[in-house]
Amino acid sequence: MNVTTTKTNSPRFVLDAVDLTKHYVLPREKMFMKVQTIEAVKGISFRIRRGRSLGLVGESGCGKSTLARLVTGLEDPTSGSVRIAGSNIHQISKNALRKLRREFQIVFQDPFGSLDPRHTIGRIVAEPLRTLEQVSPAESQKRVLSVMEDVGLKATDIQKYPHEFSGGQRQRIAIARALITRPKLVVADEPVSALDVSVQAQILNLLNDLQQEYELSYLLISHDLAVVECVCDDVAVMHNGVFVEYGLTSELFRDPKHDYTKSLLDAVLPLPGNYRG
Amino acid sequence: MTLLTVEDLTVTIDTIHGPGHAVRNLSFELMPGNTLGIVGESGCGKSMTALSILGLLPDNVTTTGGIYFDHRNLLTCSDQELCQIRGNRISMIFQEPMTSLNPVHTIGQQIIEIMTLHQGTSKTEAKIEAIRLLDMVGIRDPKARISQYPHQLSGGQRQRVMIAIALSNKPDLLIADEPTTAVDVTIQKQILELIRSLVNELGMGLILISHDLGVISNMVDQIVVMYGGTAVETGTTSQIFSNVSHPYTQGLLSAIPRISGHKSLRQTRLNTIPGVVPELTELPIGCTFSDRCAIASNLCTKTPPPATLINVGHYAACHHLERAKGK
Repeated sequence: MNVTTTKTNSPRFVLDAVDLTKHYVLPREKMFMKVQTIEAVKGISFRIRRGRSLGLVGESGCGKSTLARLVTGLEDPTSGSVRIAGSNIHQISKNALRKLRREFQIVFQDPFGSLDPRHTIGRIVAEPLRTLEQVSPAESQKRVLSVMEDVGLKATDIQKYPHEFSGGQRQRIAIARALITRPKLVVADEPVSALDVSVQAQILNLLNDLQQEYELSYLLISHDLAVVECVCDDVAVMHNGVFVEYGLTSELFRDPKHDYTKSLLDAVLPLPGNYRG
Repeated sequence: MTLLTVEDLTVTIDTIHGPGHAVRNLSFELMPGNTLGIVGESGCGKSMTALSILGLLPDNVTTTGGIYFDHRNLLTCSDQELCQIRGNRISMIFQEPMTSLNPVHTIGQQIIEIMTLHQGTSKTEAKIEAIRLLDMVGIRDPKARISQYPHQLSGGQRQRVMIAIALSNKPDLLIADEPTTAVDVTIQKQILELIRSLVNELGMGLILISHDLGVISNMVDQIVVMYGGTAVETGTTSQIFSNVSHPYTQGLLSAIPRISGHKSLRQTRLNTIPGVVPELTELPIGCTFSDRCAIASNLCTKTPPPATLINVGHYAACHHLERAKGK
């Protein structure tokens, strides 16, 4: 593709995915059997504008996590392309991709499995800086402290280890680690599904605050439609590897068009009364 | 006559950090055929309550109080007596359909075992009954499925098999501990509807344990809200939702994001409960919620609040119910 067009595209869209497809080859069950493949993602295209957030909803096995792995360069697509800040992340060299990772970071679901138990919080949060940017130790320390304050952690927490924190605090640490390189896009795969309701609300508010402060974009993956409505401007409903519906979150939830979206919304159990605190 | 009476139940876990108060002075009653929900966040003691009913608590745990079922205190029953009750008169569905089935036995064997063990049914009869049960819980082609292994089923189907196993001896009481936490929302709806219709049909009592107020409110007549091992609010579902009384229940309800279909919601902040759930070994001396409560006073930090009657059958344990109401 022409370089000049990419450059003009880059400021408006933090992510531009075109016709993404991913096939997985299954292991043969019998020796002379034909190789079976699963099409996890079937030709999906979407863009995320700077500062806007996209929610991805769907049930297990619909391909939403595969899509997240494709757009973050953790896996190569069978066909299609992903452009982040104007570069096709699957075609550039490993070194270039590594540099580009400053622009997009990931927050995983499991706050217990995603932090190295042997490292201090200070080291965990500083890790992306050490590998992606050349900064002096003093500068690194300063950035760590400032990002930790942003996510509501104390400066003294820097010396502690992950096991000393609760699930919600660990998710804050994971968010701090994602934000330290000042990315434009944060991909969050079920960031609150392992948390208690009262803590979940704290983290959702934090995600919204951070977005406004830093003009972040989220690609938020969740099975919980209400969580997506809290954080995302747009939403894509995914089913069997394709987007069955895509649009403004408020409109789509008020007036779903596709049968699958309707069935998802129907399955949400309403709370009686209208207590709002 | 009540089906199950839990009286002043206290469960204490012996940990390296000292005694952990998993459940403290919990009391509730369940009439035959009635449904009760226990709701609360992680560490509130809801699962420990379920495990103590079934006598499945680990060794480092001591219990006091009483759990009365069929004129017997289950806490003082011998293992032998409990074995006759468990899986027979009281059944349980666990959260993880992946790990609660034995991977090396077919699902048929696992259902048949329960019936031959408790009722002395012959294997051939049990097999016919197992096929009927699988059909009842909505598994298609049960004759073929019965000889399959758990890994050949999806998560939702495995949970259906668990329900079939739990119902195989037509228990008087079914305990479901987070039965739908591990499955998708559309499957959750199906599983809950299945449990509800079977409970109605067979006239069983149901204790449903969940962190999800949406699930609880749609499934049960009576609710116990637990926090830090104690019941903070109890009452019928309509009583609690029409008059949310305890500050914790209020906080929990308003922290749940709801789908509105309005653009404005994107800008509004969710209400949060500050702080985190306290460690079981370091619970506050007074009200367990006092360190996170917006209206807590000196009294709250020193004296545990008694359960105060709000309406017939509706109680909340709080010193400042009047103030909480005005909030």
